Amino acid sequence: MKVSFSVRQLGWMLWVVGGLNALLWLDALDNYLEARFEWSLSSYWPGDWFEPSRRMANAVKHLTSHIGRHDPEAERVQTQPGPTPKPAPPAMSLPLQALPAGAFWPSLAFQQLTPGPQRILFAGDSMMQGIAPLAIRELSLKHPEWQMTDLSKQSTGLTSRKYFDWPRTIQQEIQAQNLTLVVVFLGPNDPRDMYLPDRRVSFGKPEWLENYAARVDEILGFAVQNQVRVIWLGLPAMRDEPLQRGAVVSNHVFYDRAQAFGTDYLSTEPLIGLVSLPFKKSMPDDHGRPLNLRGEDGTHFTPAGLHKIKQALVAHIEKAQPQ
Amino acid sequence: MSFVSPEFALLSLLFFPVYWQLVNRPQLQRTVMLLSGYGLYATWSLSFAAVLWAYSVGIWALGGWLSRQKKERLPMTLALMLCVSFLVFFKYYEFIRASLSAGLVSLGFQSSLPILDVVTPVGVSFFTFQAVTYLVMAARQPSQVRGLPDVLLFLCFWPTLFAGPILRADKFFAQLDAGTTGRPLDVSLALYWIVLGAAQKLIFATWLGDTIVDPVFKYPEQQGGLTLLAAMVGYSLQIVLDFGGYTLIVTGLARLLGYELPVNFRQPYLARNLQDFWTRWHVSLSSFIRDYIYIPLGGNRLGFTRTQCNVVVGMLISGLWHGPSWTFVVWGLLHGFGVVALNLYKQARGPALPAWAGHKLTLLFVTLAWVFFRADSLTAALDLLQGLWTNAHGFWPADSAQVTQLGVFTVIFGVMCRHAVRLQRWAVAGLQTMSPWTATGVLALLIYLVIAWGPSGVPGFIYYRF
Repeated sequence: MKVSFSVRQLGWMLWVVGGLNALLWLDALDNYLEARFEWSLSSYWPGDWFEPSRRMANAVKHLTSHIGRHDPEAERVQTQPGPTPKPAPPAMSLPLQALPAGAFWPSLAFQQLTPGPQRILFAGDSMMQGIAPLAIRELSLKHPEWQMTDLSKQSTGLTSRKYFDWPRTIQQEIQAQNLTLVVVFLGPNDPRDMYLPDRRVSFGKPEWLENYAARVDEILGFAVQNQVRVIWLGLPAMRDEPLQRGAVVSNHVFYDRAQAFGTDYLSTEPLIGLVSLPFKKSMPDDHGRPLNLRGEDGTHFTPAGLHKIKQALVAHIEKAQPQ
Repeated sequence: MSFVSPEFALLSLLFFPVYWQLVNRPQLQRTVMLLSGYGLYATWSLSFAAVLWAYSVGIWALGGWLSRQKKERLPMTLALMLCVSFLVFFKYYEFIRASLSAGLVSLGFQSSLPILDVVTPVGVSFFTFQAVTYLVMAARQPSQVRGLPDVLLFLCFWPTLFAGPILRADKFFAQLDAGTTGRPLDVSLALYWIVLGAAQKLIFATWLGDTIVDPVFKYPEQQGGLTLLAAMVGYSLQIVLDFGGYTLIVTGLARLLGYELPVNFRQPYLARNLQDFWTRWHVSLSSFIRDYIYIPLGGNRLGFTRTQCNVVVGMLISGLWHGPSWTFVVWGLLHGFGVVALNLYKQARGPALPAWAGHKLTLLFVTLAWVFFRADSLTAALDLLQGLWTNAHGFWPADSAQVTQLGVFTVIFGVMCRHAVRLQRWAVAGLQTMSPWTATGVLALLIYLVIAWGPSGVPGFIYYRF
């Protein structure tokens, strides 16, 4: 018997299919909405409502792990990080003070690498996705015995831990790979409200800054405790106003925490564009000719921009080698 | 907003029932369609929507002007130059500036072209080509020239706005005039296409990209020869599943809106030669190139040599259309010279190859050419190809599990391609015999599985870049 669905039937069929899947994926939907729109269902609805979908998703994940579906996050070593150390250095001083036009947080180079082959992790968002392959290629040519891992993942940051938890991931990798150096480059996904277990904290508020700095501290504290060096790359100027405001805040936090923990901060501002000045796509090259450094979106980089940052990063790492 | 995002799914649940309720009020329904197109486009950027609106008004005005001209050739050339200069400015200015600057500097001169801070509107290559079809129609059939609302709808028709298929103005307006739009067409087929397209994109194309292709194209120097080869084959499969999946989804959505879209894929990897491939791959683009570039250049009417030149020019434009990069230029030229080689072989009356040999040779050529399409630079593409025979890591990888998985997947894919029509007939017939409740349950389960086996987050479509 051949049946053709009427428009009315089709209407409710779509609603039922959509509604059922929304219910069955409620926990994942909540994570998505929080990461994408800074809007969390779980802050309004009881936690029990999300449990069935969470359990079902775990069961499906477990099942798919037996039939060969690649899940990089599941494959990652599931070592439990030790207790997060209390950050010994002083807490961040608040409120932040804006730098005058033309000023920027300079690079910090406190650390020396341990002698011998390095085991390096490159972590971050799409900013790192551009840099890591170039840096790894050049370092591999110079030091074929070094082991380097690129875990960069776009759309990630420190604000939304539900979507991707960088402090936990980096701690796991430090233990699993016995790393000697971690390079971090992230931030454009961070200027957004933060969801804590019991409340939402608006971007830029003192409480947001405290929590953001605490997440940076989790990474730096764990690394320092395990004698792992860290190079944290600062952000350059951004075309989008919210991202530019975010870069001002992030750079201040990254610089302050690196200084407090005695780790390194590599400023990209003088290379690409100062956050305290209006955005510009280009800068003069060595011959005074304009060089286009930024991608069309005003956030990412052209090959020339990537090359400049890669050169600075590789030079920084080379300098940190024991003589 | 992506067509595979939760927010699009939610908006669809609200939009479609309202849209279908307006079936007896076509003008209002088209207005809703138009507003939804601009709304969707504005989710990328409000300024993009403003640019598209201004561009559409310009195309409408040019169409009106063309329809009033007594002579066709000169006004049409002027109008097309204006129309395409928009695309050139937004998409190719920086490429032209950088290439010119590098060329002049190497000769000891300075380039005075400034670096501009402009952003290319999403889908510009697609709606510019659609605008070309409208202007040509207006010049050749002045009676077919349309009012502003129709032109706005044509250039902002959201199922095709972001990545095609490229609509032809005459075909689109014929559907509007026939009054067949507005109510769903072949619902079972539309739903089958949407689910199949989502599975192709979210499960298979993403798996290929994440595990087989991206890590290798990112770090080719760390891979052995077989892994490089696997990545090349993997990309051939990824791009057809990604773009083919996208096309299935939008074609299904358009059918739910009551519109038929042009065919974009006819199992391209079953092609027996390169010419055959181009009648199966991205058909809406290749037929556009044929009708609006190759034939106006003279097609095959001006002798053998001129025909081959026209082929190469057409393929070069097809390559450049994808993006302002030398990799796309090389990809287009490779295909152009490939077709010329095939024509020379036929001209020399070389012996006809068995069908299986032609098929395998075509697959090999297309797979090699995709390396240039996928690579970040010409150097990266050449390095990867060189790694196939000169490789410090040898040919066989230590762990061949992924290569084996790809091999199994390739065989299954090949079988599915050969039986795609039969499978479609079977699935649609199955859906049609189900009660609405059973069909709802099956669809809900399939979508659950697609999400379960898909990636976290919303993956981008390869052709959104173009």
